[in-house]
Amino acid sequence: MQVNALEIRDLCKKFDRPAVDHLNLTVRAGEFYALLGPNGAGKTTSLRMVAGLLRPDAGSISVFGRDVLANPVEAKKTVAWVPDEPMIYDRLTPMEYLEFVAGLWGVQPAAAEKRATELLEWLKLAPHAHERCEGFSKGMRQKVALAGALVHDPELIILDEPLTGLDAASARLVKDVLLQRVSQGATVIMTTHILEVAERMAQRIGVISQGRLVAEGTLGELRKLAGKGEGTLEEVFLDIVSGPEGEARELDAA
Amino acid sequence: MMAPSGIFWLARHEMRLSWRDVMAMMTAGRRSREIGVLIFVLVAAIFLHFLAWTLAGPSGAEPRSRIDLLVFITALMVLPFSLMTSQAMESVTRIFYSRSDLDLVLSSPASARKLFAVRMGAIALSTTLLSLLLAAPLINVLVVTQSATWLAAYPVLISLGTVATAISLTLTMVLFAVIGARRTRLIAQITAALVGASFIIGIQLAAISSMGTLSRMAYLTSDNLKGSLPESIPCSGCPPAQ
Repeated sequence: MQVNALEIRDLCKKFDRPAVDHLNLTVRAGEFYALLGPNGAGKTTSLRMVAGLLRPDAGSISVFGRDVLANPVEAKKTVAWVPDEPMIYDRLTPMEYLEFVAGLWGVQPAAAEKRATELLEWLKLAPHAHERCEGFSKGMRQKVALAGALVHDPELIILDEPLTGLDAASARLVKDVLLQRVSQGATVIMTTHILEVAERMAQRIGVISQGRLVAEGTLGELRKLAGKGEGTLEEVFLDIVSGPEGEARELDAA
Repeated sequence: MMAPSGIFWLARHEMRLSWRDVMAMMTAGRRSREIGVLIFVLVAAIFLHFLAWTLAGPSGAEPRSRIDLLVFITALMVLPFSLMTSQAMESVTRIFYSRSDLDLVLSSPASARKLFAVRMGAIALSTTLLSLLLAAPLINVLVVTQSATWLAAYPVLISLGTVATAISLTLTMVLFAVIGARRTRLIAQITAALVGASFIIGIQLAAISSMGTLSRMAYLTSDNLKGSLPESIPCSGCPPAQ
């Protein structure tokens, strides 16, 4: 039996108000999963807990069968987290940055250098490999951050709004890279407000509202759920998130 | 020793970033100016030693006793102590609570304990360097003109830097626990400014209350203060205590 890439059970996190409220979510290994939701729905908070950056108030998270709360180091070895505004060091070159990130995941320097060189070529950053990042554009920085997420060869890649602010060419390149990683067996979880991207790239889509998963499934399943036979994801999404509060309409039982 | 994500590897990373930050600040981002900066630092070091020589060297305007020098050098160390504490508080809030690479590092399997140990060491080092900058020329001149016992001032300085860092860490963590993450930085900066000013204000108050003067130097060289100090340990080649 194949282990799921991510299993979240009854996850809760409260700040001034509940941000995540008994969230249940399963992402299969090798899947491209898009997580949608309005601002403040709890997407980023949930994923930060998966990445080990926030401690939940209640619930459990496991990554490839490893308990994130009980054994965070083992779980983190398989995960890459790319926040919406990824940090790269201005004073380092992309090559130095990638070697540092690889080192954080325990990759030996020789292997890190080889992998970094490949990634920089792949992302068309090779001509800038030894320039400091301080003058880089938003797109270049995003690509360096993405390379950082891939340099240690993670099994689960979590990206929070990875395409925001990118020009068309950079966005295309990032999408291609992610799809290629999925075709090679990695699992990708991505939050996005660009519904077209979710529609085209994701195998399954989850919709979070008020800290709960209110709908989940393929685009076809979501259309059926929303009663929009040929509707776009945007129409389906708006229908779902404007539905009755807390009403969970999970479809995917497979 | 330098295994990836080990303590020395993390320390090398921090030092590389700090060095490049300092150089970028001093060269305004122009790497071609690095040689000019190095020459400037060298000239500044020579000038500070010359200044120290005029104060404590054999050609000084008047011979100074060991106790005078001890008071003076202690003031030179305690003055930076309050500055060190204030600088360390600012560093702690920046490095522990708002540095943008925390997401990257804490989402990795690298040991957060090692990382923060390295960063605490870096704060202690940078705060000690501030104090060394002020006191080292005088100590060096005293070592040359009087006695090697003055070398003991260096471990004292390092201890002061470490204590200042420990105090800053404690204060900042208490602030964090009491008022939360958002307000900690602002309050820490205000507290740091107050701590930084406390030594100067303290000496000023002592000068006014005990001598009726606004001169801090007059207070530092007064018999009242010297009388309250323990007797200095005799050393060969040192001028007698007055």
